[in-house]
Amino acid sequence: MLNFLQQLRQLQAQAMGINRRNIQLIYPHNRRRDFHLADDKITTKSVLNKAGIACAETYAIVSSLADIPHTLEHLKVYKKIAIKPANGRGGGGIMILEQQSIGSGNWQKSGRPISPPQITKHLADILVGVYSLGSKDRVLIEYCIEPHPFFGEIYPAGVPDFRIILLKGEVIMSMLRVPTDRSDGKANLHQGGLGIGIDHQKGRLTKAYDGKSYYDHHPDNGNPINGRLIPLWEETVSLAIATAQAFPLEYLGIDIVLDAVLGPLIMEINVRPGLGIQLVNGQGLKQAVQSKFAIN
Amino acid sequence: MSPKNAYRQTIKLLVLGALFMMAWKAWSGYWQPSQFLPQSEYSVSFDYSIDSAQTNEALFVKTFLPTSNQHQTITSARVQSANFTFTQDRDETNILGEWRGAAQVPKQLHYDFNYQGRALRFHMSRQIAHPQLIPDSIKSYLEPSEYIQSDDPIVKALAIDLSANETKTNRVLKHFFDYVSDIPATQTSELTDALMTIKRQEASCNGKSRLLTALCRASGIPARPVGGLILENIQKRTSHLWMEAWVAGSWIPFDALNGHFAYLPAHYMELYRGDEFLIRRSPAMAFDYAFTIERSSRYDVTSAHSLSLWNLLQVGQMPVDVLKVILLLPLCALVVALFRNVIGLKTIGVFLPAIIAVSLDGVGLWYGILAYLLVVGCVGLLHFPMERWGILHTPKLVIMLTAVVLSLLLLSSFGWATGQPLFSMAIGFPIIVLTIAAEKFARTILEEGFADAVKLQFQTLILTLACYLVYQADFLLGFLLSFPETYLLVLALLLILGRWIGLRLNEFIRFRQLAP
Repeated sequence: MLNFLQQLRQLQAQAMGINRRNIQLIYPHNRRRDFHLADDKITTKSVLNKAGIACAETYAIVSSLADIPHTLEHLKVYKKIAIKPANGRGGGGIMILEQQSIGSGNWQKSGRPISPPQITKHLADILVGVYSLGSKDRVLIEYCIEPHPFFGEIYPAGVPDFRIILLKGEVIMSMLRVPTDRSDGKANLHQGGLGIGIDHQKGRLTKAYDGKSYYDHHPDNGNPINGRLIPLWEETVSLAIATAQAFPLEYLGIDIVLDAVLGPLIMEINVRPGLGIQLVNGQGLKQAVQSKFAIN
Repeated sequence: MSPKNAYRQTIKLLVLGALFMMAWKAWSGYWQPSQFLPQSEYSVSFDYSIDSAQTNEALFVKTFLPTSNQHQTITSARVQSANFTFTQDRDETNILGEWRGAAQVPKQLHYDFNYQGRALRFHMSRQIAHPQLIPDSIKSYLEPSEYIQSDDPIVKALAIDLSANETKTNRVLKHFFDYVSDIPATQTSELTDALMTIKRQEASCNGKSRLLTALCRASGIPARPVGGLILENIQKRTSHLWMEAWVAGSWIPFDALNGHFAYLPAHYMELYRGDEFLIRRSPAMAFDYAFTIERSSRYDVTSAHSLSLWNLLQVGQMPVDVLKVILLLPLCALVVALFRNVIGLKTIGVFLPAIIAVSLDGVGLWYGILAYLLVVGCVGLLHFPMERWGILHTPKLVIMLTAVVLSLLLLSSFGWATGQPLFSMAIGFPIIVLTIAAEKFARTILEEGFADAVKLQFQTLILTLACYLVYQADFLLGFLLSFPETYLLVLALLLILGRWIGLRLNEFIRFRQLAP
């Protein structure tokens, strides 16, 4: 019993809960009026572009139903595009389209043809707020990432991304998120993705965590993970730090992808990054913050 | 002043302010639990009419009159005598009222008053030995009487049989009570005595109460019948009989007909003790009677403190149900906040549980939850075909709202058709709230999967139950009416909760792997 209480106290001393995160990290470091800079992907990208920070090229922005026809026409010059709600959450509403021959307008979604009315319907859904909790939204259409071959060595499908948490420009903790067989191409932890801890000083992957247990290999295919050196890690971290400096927000979860050609690109930034990263790294966020800054 | 200091001072001020006001009221003698919300309040009228008389002698009508005690408060008693003289005769336990006068008919006699009742639950110690030591003053309650034949060999044998080897009074009473309760109930108004009840194995309240009394007396527990009325919002002619047994200095009530063991409901009005008749009258006359009972919403606020909210309850100011919802909503919201931030429950909407709980108050707990689940489940499923057909968001929401209205109407008509009146109350549910709940349910299924959606629904129901319990606690309402400064304490508590940085209960579980 005493032992158990001691464990609880130690857990309390290490782990970061939602209450503490909100009161000690978010409220004092992120002003609410700046939240939209992170919540709206289009706004985020305009800040990034102004600061000259690498991110996926924007192909089109759709703000009203009237924009849809000429946007669809304009998009025919691209081979592969990503359609995203500007205010979407957790990857909801993201649609990846590809055409076999540029200019044909014969788009395919996961290998199956999709008609212009179906695409229009999806764009309209985003605009009326289906993916943004009912408030009106805009559509961001951008370059679709080609994942760096490094990721193919871990899991062949989907787009893995790094999540780096920074406080006042200092890296606190980071992880790599990789899809699994049951996550349907998505890399988010609560959608069945695999989280991989990162030793950010050494730039190496550590153990993988699937929400229940820890692995040294990808649980679906046995590819080794623990100890792998991450390519372009220093560039990735500098990009994250540059991003943190470009925003008036001091506590951030920055999502970065590694493009095969373009290298690290900022995907999105979060003002309320989730707390699951502690489990992935097997380390309490409170402890990690305390090692750099004084909080009580 | 630094923000941190201002925060602390604010909390201190709120707490001290509340405590000061409470202490001041208590000091000035305001602390009187009896002023808390009465559980039952009725205006009652005994109506007697004499239509004709076959004699020239003086006529009389005698009836027992209620008196105030810890269970009931009788106020504003008025008598209408119509030229009869009216006298009251008080003995140790009862008040007997009597109208008497010359045989001039017809005559209408009334005795009306206001009744406030409090339910009483008695705790019987398990330590009290059987048989008890009986003081001389109450030995008369061991004696047999005309209809309570506790000396009859059949009664005696039954008492011995039922109480065999028991050495504790509460156990003996339980055996007697269970035996009498199990005798099938009838509606007869015929006088049934203790012995007849054993022989016929069926009885109404008077037979059962006499038998229970007889069994007690036969085994040495002093006991007496209690006569009165079960107050309901109707006009009735039936009176009720239950009984009391003397246990270690207290008279404990038992009603074997309605299953009340050591419990006296708030709406049981006591009129007399002993094996009496409620009404006695001159034989030679045509006589009729009725008890007219109305649930009243009058509150005696004359003694209310000027800094309490009881005045709001004065007639016409505010219905008590509305006041209840308004007053208890902050407390429910406090419960919601505690469950969310300390335990870590997730719910559909922040205040949805509190709002559903209010609706349950009208619909009834289990029917309400069933109706809620039916509506939210079925309407939520509509989301899926519409998603497949590609229906735009706003029309989809309106379709779901329409479906909620239709299903509530269906449930209600089903309720009326099958005589399940509680289902018919389903119409009282807030429609917009149900629509949002259904939409959110469907969206959660899509985004997080069916298991998570059900989990979310389940957590919402748990919190709804917690809020419902708050709404049901009448003493809370009474306390808030007397001491509205309690809200200052609620605010202070919320301010503290608002700066509380501890791990939530569910986070201890979620992050347990981080513990060394």
